[in-house]
Amino acid sequence: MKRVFLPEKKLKQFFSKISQEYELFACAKSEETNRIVRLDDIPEEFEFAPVRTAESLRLFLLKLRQLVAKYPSDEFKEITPNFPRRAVIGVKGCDIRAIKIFDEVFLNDPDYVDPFYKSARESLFLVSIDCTDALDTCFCNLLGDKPYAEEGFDINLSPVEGGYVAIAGSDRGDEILSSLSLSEAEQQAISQMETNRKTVLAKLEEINKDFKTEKSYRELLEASEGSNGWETAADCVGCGACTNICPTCFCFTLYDLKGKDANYRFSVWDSCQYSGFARMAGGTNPRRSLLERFKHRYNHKFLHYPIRYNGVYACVGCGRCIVNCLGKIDIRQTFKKLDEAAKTAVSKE
Amino acid sequence: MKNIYYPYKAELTKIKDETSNIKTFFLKLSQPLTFKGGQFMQLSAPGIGEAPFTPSSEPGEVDEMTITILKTGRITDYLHEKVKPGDILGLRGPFGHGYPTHLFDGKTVLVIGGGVGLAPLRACLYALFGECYDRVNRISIKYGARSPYDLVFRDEYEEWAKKEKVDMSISIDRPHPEWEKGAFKFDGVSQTVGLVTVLLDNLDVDIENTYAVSCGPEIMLKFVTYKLLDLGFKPEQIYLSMNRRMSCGVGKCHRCNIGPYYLCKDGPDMCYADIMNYDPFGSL
Ligand SMILES: Cc1cc2nc3c(=O)[nH]c(=O)nc-3n(C[C@H](O)[C@H](O)[C@H](O)COP(=O)(O)OP(=O)(O)OC[C@H]3O[C@@H](n4cnc5c(N)ncnc54)[C@H](O)[C@@H]3O)c2cc1C
Ligand code: SF4
Ligand code: SF4
Ligand code: FES
Repeated sequence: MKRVFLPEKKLKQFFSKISQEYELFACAKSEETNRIVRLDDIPEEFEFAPVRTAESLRLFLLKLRQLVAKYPSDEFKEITPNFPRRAVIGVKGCDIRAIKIFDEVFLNDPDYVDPFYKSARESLFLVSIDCTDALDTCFCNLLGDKPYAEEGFDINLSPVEGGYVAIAGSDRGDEILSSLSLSEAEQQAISQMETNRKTVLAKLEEINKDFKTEKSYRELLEASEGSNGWETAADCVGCGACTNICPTCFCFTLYDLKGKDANYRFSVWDSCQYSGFARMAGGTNPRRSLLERFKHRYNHKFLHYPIRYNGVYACVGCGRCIVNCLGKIDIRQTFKKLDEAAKTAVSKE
Repeated sequence: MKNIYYPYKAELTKIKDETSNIKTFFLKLSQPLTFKGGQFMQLSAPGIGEAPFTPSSEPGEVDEMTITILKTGRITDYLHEKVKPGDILGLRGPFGHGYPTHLFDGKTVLVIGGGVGLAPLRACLYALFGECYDRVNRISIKYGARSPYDLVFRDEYEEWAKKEKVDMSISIDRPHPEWEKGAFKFDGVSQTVGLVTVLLDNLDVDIENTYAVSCGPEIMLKFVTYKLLDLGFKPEQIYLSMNRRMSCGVGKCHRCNIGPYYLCKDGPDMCYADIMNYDPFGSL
C-alpha cells in the first residue's frame, strides 16, 4: 500500500469519516497518565498520547464479565455477532501486537473459536500511531519489537511536520483513506517519520541499557528451575495487579448462577496469581505457593506460550505491570537477576 | 456462530450407587454425539457450575452415556444430593484426545486404575474389548481401591476376566475382614492386599511391547509411573490421565496446563515423555 499524507487540518474529517461507521475512541495525552477516551463529539483538534495509555485494548475485546450462555433455553446455542462497532485511534505498537496474542488463542484456533471474542474483534477498527516518546518502563526493544506497529492495524499514522504519514493495513482502512483524497506522502515526510522512529528506538536503548541480558528471556526460563535468581519474587504479594493491567493476559473462569427463569453462565476475568486459580477438588494445587505462581506467570509468557504459538512471546514490553506492581517488581529486573545467576552458575562449573 | 460455552440438554434417566461416595449417572442426550474413550465432557449442574468428567460408558456414536462421579466438593455434592431422575442437566464436549488406541496394534495394554479412576478407564476397556480387540495382543487390568466396598463396577469383573485376551488383578489398600473371608470373590480375578503398585510386582508382560495407561489419584499415578520406569518401561510407553482444574475445556481459559500443554486439548491422557520435564506431580 502506498503512504499518503494526512494534513493536521484534515484530522477532523478523518475522525468524522470513521465515526460514520464506528463509535469513536482515541488515545489522549494527559499530564498525569494517558487515557483512552470516548469522543462523543468530533474535536476540532486532538493531542494524541505520545506513548501507551494507562489501559490497553483488552477491555474492548474481553469484557470483565460477559454473559456467555443462558440455559436450558436455546437462545445462546448460536451467537449472532452484535458487538458495538468501535474505532480506537492512536493505539501504540505494543497494544496492536498484544491483540495478535489473543487472536491465536480465541480466533485462530482451528478447533474452537470464541464467538464473543470474534464478534468483538471484527467490530474493532484500529488506527495506530508511532510512539513519539518512551516511558522509563517501556521495553519493547528488549523483546526485539519496535515503538511502532508494522502490521495488525487498519491504518497507521506517523506524526510529522504539519500532519501524518498514513498507511492502510486493511481494505477497510484503505477505503477510509481513499475517501479523503489525500496526496502521496513526500520523501521529506517519510524521512521525518524514519528519523522519529530511530530517535525513539535510541531512547529505548538508552532507558534499557542496564537491563540487557546475555541470554534471551526464553533461554533463561528454560534453565530456571532451581535457579536462585528468582530474587524479585520475594516482593510479590499476589495481588494480581500485573495480570489485570496486562494487555496480553487472558485467563478467565466460567461462572454459573441460578436465575428466576433460567441459569446464567458468565465468563469473568481471572488471574493465575490467585491461589484458587488452579486449586482442584480435595484441595490439591499444582501452584500452591506464591513463588510457584510468580514463576508461572513468567513461564507462561516467555516459555509456554511461545512453545505453543510460533515462538512469539506473550508480552509486548508495555511496562504496565511494572508501574502497577504493589511490590515494585520490574519484570526486566527479574530477568537481569536470572541472567546474573545463570552466569555465576556457569563460572562455578 | 457456534457457542462453545453453551451446555446442551441431557436428561438424567437413572442414578446407580456404586459405592458409598461414587454414583453412576445415566444421561439421555438431546442430540447424538461421537466420543472416543478417554475424551471428557463438561457436565453442568444447572446454575451451580460445570466440572469435567470422562464418560464411563462405551465410546462411539451415542445418544446415551453414563458418567461415574465421586462426591468430593461443591458440584459433585450437588449432583449426589440434589438431582434426581427426570432432571435436565447440561453437557459440553467431548473434549480432548482420548486414549491413543491407534498405538495398541499387536501390543499388550496394561490398564492400571485406582478408585474412581476405573470409570474413565472403563470407556477405554470397552474400546479395547470392541473395535480394538482383534488388533491387540493382550489386555492386562490392574485395579486397586481403598476397601472392598470402594471397588467400582464390581458386577463386571468376572465377565471381563473371562475374555481370552484379558487378565485382571485387584487389590485393596489394607486387610479387610470381608476380603479375607472371601465375601468378595471374583472368579478368574487374582486378588490381593496392598497399594495398587503391588500388582506390578512380578509383572509378567513383555515390557518392550506394552503400553501402560493409568488413571487414578495423582499420588497413585506418581508411584505407578516410578514403578513402571523401574521395571524398564520407557516414558513413551506410559500414558497418564492427568488432572488439572478446568473451566473452558477448549484451550482458552489457561487453567489446565502442564507446561505448554493444555490437558483439555492435548490430554487429558498425556504421554509421560511429554510432561516429565514439567513437574507433572507437582500438585501433591
Ligand atoms: C479430564 C478430567 C476427567 C475427570 N473425570 C472424572 C470422573 O470420571 N469421575 C470423577 O468422579 N471425577 C472426575 N474428574 C474430577 C472431577 O472433575 C472433580 O472431582 C470435580 O471437578 C470436583 O468438583 P467439585 O465442585 O465437586 O469440587 P470442589 O473441590 O468444590 O471444586 C473443585 C474446584 O472447582 C471450583 N469450583 C467449584 N464450583 C465452582 C463454581 N461454581 N465456579 C467456579 N469454581 C468452582 C472449586 O473452587 C475448586 O477449586 C475428572 C477431572 C478431569 C480434569
Ligand atoms: S507482562 Fe507487563 S510488560 Fe509484558 S505485556 Fe503484560 S503488562 Fe506489558
Ligand atoms: S502486581 Fe506485583 S505483587 Fe501483585 S501479583 Fe503481580 S508481581 Fe505480585
Ligand atoms: S480448561 Fe480452559 S484451557 Fe483447559
